[in-house]
Amino acid sequence: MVETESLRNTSGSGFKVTSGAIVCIADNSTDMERFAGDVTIGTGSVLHPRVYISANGGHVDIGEGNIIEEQVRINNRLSDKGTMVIGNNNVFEVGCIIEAKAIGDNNVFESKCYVGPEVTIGNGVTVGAKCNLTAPDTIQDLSVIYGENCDQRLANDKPTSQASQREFLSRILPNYHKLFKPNKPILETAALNSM
Amino acid sequence: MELSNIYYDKEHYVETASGNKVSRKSLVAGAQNIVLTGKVIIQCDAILRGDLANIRTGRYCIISKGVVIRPPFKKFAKGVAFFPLQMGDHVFIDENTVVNAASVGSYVYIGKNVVVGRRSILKDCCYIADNSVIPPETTVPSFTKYSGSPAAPVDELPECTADLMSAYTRNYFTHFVPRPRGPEGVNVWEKKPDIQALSL
Repeated sequence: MVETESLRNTSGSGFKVTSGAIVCIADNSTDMERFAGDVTIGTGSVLHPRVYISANGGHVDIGEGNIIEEQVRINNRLSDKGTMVIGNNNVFEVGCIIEAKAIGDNNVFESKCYVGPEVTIGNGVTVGAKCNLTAPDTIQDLSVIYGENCDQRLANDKPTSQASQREFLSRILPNYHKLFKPNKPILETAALNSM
Repeated sequence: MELSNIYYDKEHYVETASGNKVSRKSLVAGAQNIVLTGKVIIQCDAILRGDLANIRTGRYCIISKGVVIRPPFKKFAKGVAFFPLQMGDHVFIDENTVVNAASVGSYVYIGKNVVVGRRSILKDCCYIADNSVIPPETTVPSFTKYSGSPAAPVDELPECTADLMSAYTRNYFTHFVPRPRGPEGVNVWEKKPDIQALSL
């Protein structure tokens, strides 16, 4: 009950899932605190369980066909309280922390990487495992950030499509997880679960 | 060296007949695809993704807080497939590590905050230092210590590694005990962290 109250206070107009997006919830109630503020998730996006999205600083707008794995934290910490726009077909691997200003399409954020609030990411960028981007910067298209010192270079080829993985996940995840129903506010889902 | 006791709250853990201790705060997805052979500890906030593919662990595996065990995927011309993840006996995985390996041998130590890349193979008796990143499809040979990002061999391990790891994980398991309670069910450690209180 307390949780429902706090959700009502923090979520504002709330958490929107367009039809075709798959948002898994793990079956314990603490999991309901994972989405705060105004979050929109586009068609065909797959969110694994234990993803944390905080939009208390402003909207978080997640595009189509993104894969967001466990323990990922997406945090809107923009100084101007603006909308954080994430494009299409990005992959956020386990445990990465994203606070970027804006993110384009077809990017890959590998495990445990960190993208700070003053960073803008282009298209087709790969941020390697455990790489940190903290300085104010715009990462140009097809960049690869890798290694211990977070070196940067350009990739020679186009990023590979993640469509097949997304398709596989959207087939298999509904068999094992409770899902958020599209276009239903989070409160209703919470009420259903507590029954 | 004798470990000091590590206490857990009994109500937060499930103990199975074969001696596995699984935290209720962990996320075990697709439990029908996960085999824990016995005496396995899974601590809070750990995630096992049995929904993606089968996971099989040996005996005396210690999976610490915040660890993610995730079967790796491979892309083929037609779609993708997730591969089963095998883990041997006496494996210790420290906090907040991500394991995407195809197989982990026996007597393996994996440190804190490590990222083990997709479909890498950790052979028996290897050691991954804290904060390392094992790139995808790496094979880590036996009796080597890997460190860095991307991880590279830095040292060799002694021949007795198997015995050391077996002693370490057994020790950990025997010292991973429920928090003792006083006669009225009061948590004596919260009231008075004094060993005398136990002899009531």
